[in-house]
Parts: sequence; C-alpha cells; structure tokens
Amino acid sequence: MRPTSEALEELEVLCSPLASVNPTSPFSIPTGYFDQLPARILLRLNQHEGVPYEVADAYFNDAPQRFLSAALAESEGSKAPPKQLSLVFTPLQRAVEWTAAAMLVLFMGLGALKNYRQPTVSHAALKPHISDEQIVGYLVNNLDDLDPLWLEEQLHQVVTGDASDQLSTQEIREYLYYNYSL
Amino acid sequence: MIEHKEILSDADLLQLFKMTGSREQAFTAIVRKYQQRLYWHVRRMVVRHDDTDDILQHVFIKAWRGLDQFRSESGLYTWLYRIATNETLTWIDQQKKRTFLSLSDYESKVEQTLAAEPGFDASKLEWRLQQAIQKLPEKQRVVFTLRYYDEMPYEKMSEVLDTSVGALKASYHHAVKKVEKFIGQF
Repeated sequence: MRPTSEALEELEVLCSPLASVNPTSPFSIPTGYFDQLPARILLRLNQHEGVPYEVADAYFNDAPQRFLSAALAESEGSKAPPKQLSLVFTPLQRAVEWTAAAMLVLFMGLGALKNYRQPTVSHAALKPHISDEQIVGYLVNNLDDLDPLWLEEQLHQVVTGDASDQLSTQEIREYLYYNYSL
Repeated sequence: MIEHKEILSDADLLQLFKMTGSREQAFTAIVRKYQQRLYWHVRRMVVRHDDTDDILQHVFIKAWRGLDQFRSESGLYTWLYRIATNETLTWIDQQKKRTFLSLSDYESKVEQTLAAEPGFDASKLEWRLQQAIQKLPEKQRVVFTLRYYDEMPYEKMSEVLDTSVGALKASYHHAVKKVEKFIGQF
C-alpha cells in the first residue's frame, strides 16, 4: 500500500481500484546496473563525446607575455646564417639538363603518337556481330530523346535494303510497336 | 574526494561541478542521485531495458554539456526530468518514422515488446496496468507516469512539460479513466 499523499488522495477520488495497486513496475533490471551506470557514462563521455579539457584559472591571464617570451627566445637561438645557393651552372650541369629536357619531349611525343593511332577494330568488322535488333535495343535503353519516326525511317533504309518491296512501312511500324513499344 | 554524495544538495553539487578538479566527481554524484528516478521514468515509456539504457546515457551526456550554462531557477530535478522526457519522446518519434509504422502498428509492436519482457503475465494486475499505460498517447503517458508513479506535483510537472496545470489535470484524469476502463475489461 502506498503512503498517503496528495496524488494518492486524488487517485482515490478518481478511481479507487488503481489507488490500491502497488505502484511498482514489474520490469526487471540487470544486476548491478545502477552501480555501473555512472562509470559507463563517464567512459562514454571521455571516449566519444570528449570531455572538455580543463586549464588553470590564471592560465590565460599571463598567456600573451609567455607566448611573446617564447617567440623571442626562439628567434635569438636561431641566428645561424641561412645556406647560400649558388646560381652559377657548370657546363656539365647544363648538358645534363638539356639532355633530360630533350628526353622528356621525346617521350611526350611518342606517347601522343601512340594515342592517335587508328583503332584496330573497324566498324565493318564489327557489323556482322551486332544485329540491328541489338542496336535498336541499345538505342531504346540509352537515348532519352529518341525520335521513333526518325528511327523508323532509318530502319526502313537499313533493314529492308534491297528487299524494300518485302516489308511495308506498316509492318515495320507494327514490329517496332510490339517489340519496343515505340 | 566527495564524501556522503547522497546527502549533498543540488546547489552543492552544481557548485562542485563548476569548480576545476571536481567536475567528474560532482557529475558522478548527480548521476547517482537521479539515475533511478530517471531510469524508471524512461523505462515506463519505452519498456525495453536496452532502449532505456541508451536514452538514459544520452540524457546524462546532454546534462554534462548543459550543466555549465545551467541556471538553477527551475531546479536540477526538474531540468533533468525535462531532458529525459524530451529525449524519450524524440526516441519514440524516431522509432515510428524509422519503421514507417502507423499508430495501430506501433501500438501492436509495443504490445509485443511488453509481452516479451521476462516474467510477463497478462493475468497479473501490474502487467495489465503496463499494457494499459502503453495504450495511452505518448504525452498522456508521460503525464500519467509522472503523477501516478513519481507523484509529481502538478506545478513541477508544469515546469517539466511546459504545459498549464489545468491542462495537465485534465490530461491525467482522462488517462486514469482510460486505464481504469482497460483494466476493467478483464
């Protein structure tokens, strides 16, 4: 039975059966859960969320002076003269440089020449291996703005060829309609 | 080292949290002080322990981030309850969206989750009460659990939920009637 409280008195007025129910939850919790929770949360904060770093209260008060002193000390410590580079080339150095440049140009030229060679497979050689049906299928699948009338006209010329008297325009149109929904 | 953590007031804990060197200890003391109440508040809403654990960790991580800026006008207790309630309602909302469930589908999923809990027995009154609570709309469920289990005064509840006392009383009364009706069906 729960102790008398303002909430309980209200509940008794509203609904007496509920007021007599023991208000504990029937759910179970793993053993030791509440003992470990604070440490788990801190661990998660440290690992994933990043606990903000703490600095001494007076750290920023004298920070400018400390940074300036450190910079001055470093500049005084590094007063050794910088290494001088010679701009005078010996004849041998010049010859090596010119040779390297010539070889570079030669390789670039050869590479360009290789890329501009004619393809080894000609359209004529490929033609017997690719059917008109495959070409039409490719066009249907890959062209968004395919013009069916233009295609029909081209096919009429290509497919019928010499046998134009055997296939009528209507037949070709029906063929395209039933096979390619054109 | 903080001694006798359980007897320190919220004001003392907050002061310790803001002092360099005692943040983690003060935070641990805050977690220890409120973890059980917040746990049960969340658990009664979402049922599963694993989900509750996940939400509760988020609640305390948010609390850690916000404690520096926390002004004690509303009280630590109220503030933590508000974070826990918002996190829980957000989680429930995400679950519904993530699984594309309609309200009735979601209710049946929650019923299944409840039935899968260890020791579930639909013939026992405490489990039937849990079933009835899960049938309430989320915000009414929050009001019911805060009042029924935590016995939270309406004024405090008003701060937690940012709702008027009158609206909360009406919501609680409706919830009690629904629960009573559900339990009376058996």
